[in-house]
Parts: sequence; C-alpha cells; structure tokens
Amino acid sequence: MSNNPVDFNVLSTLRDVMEAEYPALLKVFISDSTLRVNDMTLLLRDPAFAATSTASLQRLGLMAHSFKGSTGNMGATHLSELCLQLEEQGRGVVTADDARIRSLVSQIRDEFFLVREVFERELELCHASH
Amino acid sequence: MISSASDRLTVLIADDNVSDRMLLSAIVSRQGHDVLTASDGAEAVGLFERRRPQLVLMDAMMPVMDGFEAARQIKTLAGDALVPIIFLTSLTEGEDLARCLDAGGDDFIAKPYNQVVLAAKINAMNRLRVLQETVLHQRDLITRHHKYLLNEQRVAKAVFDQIAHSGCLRSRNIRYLQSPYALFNGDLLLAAWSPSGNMHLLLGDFTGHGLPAAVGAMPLAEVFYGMTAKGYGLPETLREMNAKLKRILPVDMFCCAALLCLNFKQQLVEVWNGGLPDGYLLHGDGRPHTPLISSNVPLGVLSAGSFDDNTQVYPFGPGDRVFLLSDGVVDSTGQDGELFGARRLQNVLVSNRNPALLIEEVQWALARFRGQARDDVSMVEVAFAEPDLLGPPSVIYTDSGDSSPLDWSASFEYRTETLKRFNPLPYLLQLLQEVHGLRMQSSELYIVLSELYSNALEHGVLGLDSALKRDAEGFGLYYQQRAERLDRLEDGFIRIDFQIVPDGEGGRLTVRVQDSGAGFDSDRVLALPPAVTQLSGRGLALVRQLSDRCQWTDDGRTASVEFAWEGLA
Repeated sequence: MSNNPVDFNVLSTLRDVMEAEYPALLKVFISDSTLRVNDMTLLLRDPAFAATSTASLQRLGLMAHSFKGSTGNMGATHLSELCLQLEEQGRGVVTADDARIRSLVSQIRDEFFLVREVFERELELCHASH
Repeated sequence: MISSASDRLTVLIADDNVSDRMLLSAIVSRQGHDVLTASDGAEAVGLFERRRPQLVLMDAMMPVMDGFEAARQIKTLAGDALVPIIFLTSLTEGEDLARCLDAGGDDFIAKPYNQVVLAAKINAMNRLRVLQETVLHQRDLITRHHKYLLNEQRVAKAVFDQIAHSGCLRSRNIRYLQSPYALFNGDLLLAAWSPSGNMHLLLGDFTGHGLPAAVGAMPLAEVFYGMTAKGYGLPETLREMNAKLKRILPVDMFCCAALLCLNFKQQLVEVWNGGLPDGYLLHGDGRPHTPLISSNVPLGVLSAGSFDDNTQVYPFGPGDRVFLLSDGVVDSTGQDGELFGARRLQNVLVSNRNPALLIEEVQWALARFRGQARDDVSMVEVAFAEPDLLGPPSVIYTDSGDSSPLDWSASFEYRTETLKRFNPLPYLLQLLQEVHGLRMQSSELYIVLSELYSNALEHGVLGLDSALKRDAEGFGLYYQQRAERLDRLEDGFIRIDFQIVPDGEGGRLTVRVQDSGAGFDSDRVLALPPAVTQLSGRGLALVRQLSDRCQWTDDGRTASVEFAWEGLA
C-alpha cells in the first residue's frame, strides 16, 4: 500500500478520461465529500445514535458504502479502505463496537483532509496550466 | 428496425453519488454513447419511461428508491425487449450480488471503475440486446406470416372444397374419408355422372400435401367434370388430364390417380390406376378380392405420345365394391418407423364382415398401429347399386327450344385411324341435344348410341365374340383381344346416319349404325331372353328396352333404332 493518500496512477487516468471536466470533477468530489464527512460526524454526535441501534447502524453503513465507492473511484485508496471497515461495522458484518466506530469516523475525517489537500493542489495546478 | 451492435446507444446512469455519476458519464460518453443521468431509483424509472434508453447502469444503494426496485420496474416497463441492466456496485457479499440478479440485473461492475472492463461489458450486453431484438423481430415476422398463410389456406380450402368435393360424392353408394396431414387434404376425390348414367370417380394424390399439392386440382377437376358431362369415356378423359397436367405442372410434380367408370346398367367397372397403391375390387360373393394394380405412370409425367390410356374392365355386380386409397394410408409409420404397408391393409379387407364399416376398420387398424400420418390420407369405397336407385339428376335446360332444328339428316363415316383413337359419341350426342324434344331422353339416347357404336366396333369391325364375356376370366381376355385387334386394324369403318323428321307436335329420330364387319344373326341374339345373370348380351337387351323401335338388317351389319317424342307442353 502506498503512503500517498491518493494513487497518482488513478489521478492521471481521471485526467485523461475527464479532459476539460477534470477540475469540475475534483470540485464536485471535494464539496460532496465534505458534506458526507460532516454528516457522518453529526450522526455520531446525535444523542440518539447508538451502536446497538439497527437503524443507526444501517444509516451509517449506507453512508460508508456510498463514500467507499466514490473515494475508490477517485484513487483515495486508504480512505476507501477505512470506509469499508466502517461499512462492515454498520452492516453487521462484524459485531458493531461503539469505540471502534468512533475511532474509524475520526480516522476517515483525518484521511479525508489529507486527500482534500492533494485534490486542492491538483486544482491549483490545473488553473496554473491554463 | 433492428439497431446494430455498433450503434450509438442511449445509456441511463443512475447513481446518487455525484462524482461517481460524473466520472461514469465521462467514460460512457467517451465510448460514443449518449448519456442520461438520474440520482435515485425513482428518477431513473421516470427517465426510462420518457426516453427509453437501451442500457442502464444502476447503483444498488440509492435513497428514495434503491437500485433493486428501480431495476424491477424498468424490466417490467421494457416488456419483451431486453434492456440490459448493469449494477454498479462495490458490494462484495454474495447475498447482495444475488439480490441484484433477482431484481433483473444482467451483470455487475465493481467500483472503482475500470474503463476497459466497462466498455467490454457494455458491448457484450449490447450484443445480447441486439440478439434479443432480432429474435423478437423474427418472432413477430413469423407470427404475421403464419396468420397470413393460415388465412390464405382457409380461402384456398374453401375454393378447393367447392371443386374437389362436389359432383355426386354424396351418392348413397359412395363412402369416403379424407383426413388432412395439415390444414386441408390436398388429395382430390371427384365423382360425376356421365350422360349415359355411368358414374365416373377419380381419386388423385398430387406430389406433396396440402395447399401446394392442391394447385393442380382445379385444372384436373375441370377436365374431369367437363369431359364426364359431355359423355367422354375414361381413355379420352385420361389423355386430356395427362396432357393438361403435363403442360402446367413443374417437372417434379405429378398426380398419382385412379379413375373408375362404374357402369351399373351393364354391371361393369372400368379401371385405370396410375401410381396409386393397389385398389381392390371386393366381391360380394366371397371370392377373394381382386387387386386393382397400378400399371400406369401417374398423370402429368409422360408426353401425350407415350401416355398409356389402357383400362381394365371387370364385371361389377350386386354386392361388389371398389376400394381405393391414397398412399397416405399404407405409408403411415408406426413408432419404430415401420410402414403400415399393404399386407396390414389386406388383412383388414379380408377380415371385414360389414361392408359399411370397412373404412372405419382401416382407421382402427391405423390407430392400433399408432400410425403417424406423413401425408394426406384418403380412402373411398364405392358399391354397386341398382341404377334406378341412384340415377343422375335430370338436367335442366334454360333455352326455350324455339330454335330447335326439326327436319334434317346427317351421315358420318369413321374410318380405321379414327376408330383407333377417337370417340365420336360426345360430339354426336351434343349434336342431338340441339333437338329440344330429345333432351328428355338424352340418357337413354346416349346409352343406346354408345351400345350400338361399341357393338359395331367390337363385334362388327373387330369381330370379337361376346360369348367370351361369360365369366370373369373371359372378360379379361375379351378386353385384351379388343386392344390387340384395334391396334392391328387395317381396314374398317363405322357409318352413322341420323334422320330427324317432325311428326305432329313432336318428332322422330332414326339412327342407323352400319359397320364393315361380317354381320351377325340378330334374330338369334334378340330371341334370347334378357340375360340378367349373364354378362354377355346385356347390350342388345338394353337397346331394345330403351329405344322405341329397333331392328337389324338381314346381314346383321346395320342396326336401326328410333326415338320418338310428343309435343312439348
């Protein structure tokens, strides 16, 4: 596994596929993902959230599932893996553990900031080259 | 119209994840397709209804309506057409993948997307889609053609039945069964009365079955009815039928046929069989049945010059029956591919006790054999009947008779080469039909004319001895000699004179028939009592019975008969 938050091979493929739309894709991903991470954080802060509640877990699992997909497509390999672990907690693949869930969400948040920095740098490069 | 596999497709992408949607749209567009996007299942179903995309890429987990439900609804909306749905999924559990298939998904593609794999999957799915479209198109085409064909066959059947099953098939002495291999039986079964009260019957089986086999039926039926009604005998009718079919049918098509002339008055049956399975003459007195073997080439094969119109003549009296069949009967195959065959048929014929059940018994035997018909199946049985019990329907004439010629005479002389191949009777009868007063007795007139003509030919010109016809064996010999002597004939003639004179309101016809033969002792023959049981001598007795006056000159070479009629009301 690479230590880079984003797989640069994936990024170069994305640049090829998206062509002129590449910066737009980066922007859409950043804003959409920021919302998703915030939603996750807010869900955990909700007093009604409990690792024992099926409804809570299901909601968290879906969020993680969806985020796993988009981060995977964007080459944020490690972030996508963290999402998978969280999804497994939420979907009951492993026994849900409140401390583990909170730790994973916090790791996802931290990893996302690193990924976002990479993409923002990409955006700046794009602007610079135009 | 069927789209080809390389066509530009309209692809619907349904994913709630905006960046995934954007990425996928870019990939699919780059592959040359048009893209529609939806951010949840409900939106996807709505777009599908409005825009009918040909292929759907569907995320499984979506808000409002998930991909499973959307897939189900889209498959329902698509009906028979194949709209491939490829699930976009990072699902890894087998159970979830199974849910995708249950919902109607056709394939999966995992995130993160691999462009090459995605393109390959879209192409593969599109090939399936085009295949399905082709199949549906062909199915619809076949359905349309089938309906069209059925309709054509129905129309053809209606016309065919009018032609092929009219005539006097409903007579009480005829029983028949025609079961079709397909929609209708293309075998031809015709029966008609000749002017002299003979019954002509034809069973014909054209190459093939059903409609194609029936196309030759109309011309054949036309010749059969036309020539029978005009009084032509079997040889002339056969020659004409053969020539007509030879002219109009393609070379690989012909007609196996048997033609009968049943003469109930003189108790004879004349048979020609070309290519049909053996028919049978079944005797009422318990003698073994006589096979009516095909000794001729089917109709429509040989040119007029090489066609053989020779017929066989057999005694045919009370209790006798003729049974004819098409090869659909003997060619029915059992479960092991074995043919029903002539032997099984003969067993049925031999064991038959109740003549009325013969055809049913053949059917039962076929059923026991579990025969699978491979062709139209036709059977006909015609029994002897006393002539006055059947009788041809009287002919109704529509003209007034005002122009009827009433004072004339005519003479005809037929010489060697004509005697060999020409039957003058239909023409002569037609001529006499012009005389209105004779029409009421045209049947009698015809019988007497044909009797006098054949007497003049057979006993006069050819010198045949009618005593030969005493028994069935002599019968065969007689007709064999007739053919031989006619063939060798070098010198001979038959002269026929008509004289019509008016007589009060009515009139009188005198017919004189003279031949070149040695003559015979008419007094002796006429002095014999009417021989009911003997086969010979029926002819002269009939002539005496049907005409108003008849006499022979002393040398026995000239016969003279009279028909008189009263004024018409």
